[in-house]
Amino acid sequence: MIVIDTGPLVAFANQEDPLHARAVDALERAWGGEHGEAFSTDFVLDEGMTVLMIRVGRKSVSQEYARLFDGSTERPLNPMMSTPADVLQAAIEIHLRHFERRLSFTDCTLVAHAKRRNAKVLTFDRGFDGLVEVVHP
Amino acid sequence: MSTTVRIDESDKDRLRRLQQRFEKVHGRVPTHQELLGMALAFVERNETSFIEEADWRPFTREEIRARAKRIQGNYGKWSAADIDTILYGGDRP
Repeated sequence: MIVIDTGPLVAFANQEDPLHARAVDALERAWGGEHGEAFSTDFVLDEGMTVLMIRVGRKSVSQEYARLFDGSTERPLNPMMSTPADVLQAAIEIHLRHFERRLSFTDCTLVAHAKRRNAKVLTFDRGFDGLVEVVHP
Repeated sequence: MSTTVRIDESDKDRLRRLQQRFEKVHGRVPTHQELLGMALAFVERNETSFIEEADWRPFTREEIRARAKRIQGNYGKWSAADIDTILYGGDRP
C-alpha cells in the first residue's frame, strides 16, 4: 500500500512544474498498482485545495483536484482515507517527538496513516526519510 | 430472528482488540454482537470510503491518462517542492 502526499498530485496537475514529469511517472505507477493499493488522505485534499487556490486561483482546477478524491459518482483515481481520532493522536505524538524536523502536521498525519497500515509514502519531501518507508518520484 | 455468521480466528482477534480498546475508553466490555452492530453503523456513516477501500483495483495507464486530461494544464511557474513555503510560510531549518 502507498499513501500519496500533496506534492506529487499538484505537480501532476501543473505541466509547468519542473517536477511534473516525475510526478506523472510516479503516479501512473502508483495508481497502476505498483505498490499495491494507493490512497491519499483528507489532509492531502486540504493542502492541495489550499495551495491551488493560492497559486492558480481557478475554481475549475480546484474542482478537478477534488474530483481526484471523489467517489460519489465514479471510482476515484486517488481515494481518500479519513483521519480518525486514533491516527490524529498518533500524528500529534509524531509531531511532538520529531518537532525539530519541522514537519507540517499534515506530514505527520501521513506518517501516522502509513505506520498504521504498514504503507509507504509517495512524496517529494525529504523530511519523511527515516520515519517511514518513502518512495521519492 | 437470529442468523449465524462465521467469523475466522483473525477476525475474532480483531474483535478482541476492539473490545479491549472500547473498554479502555468507555469502561465496559461490549459483546461481539454489540461491537459488530457498532461497526456496521460506523460503516454506514462512512459508506463511500468503505466501498472505495473495499474494492480498490489498479487503474490502467489509459484510464489514468484519460482522467489526467481533466486536471492537467499550465498553471504557472511554481513548484510542488515549495508547498510548505506557500502554505506555512517558512522553510525548515
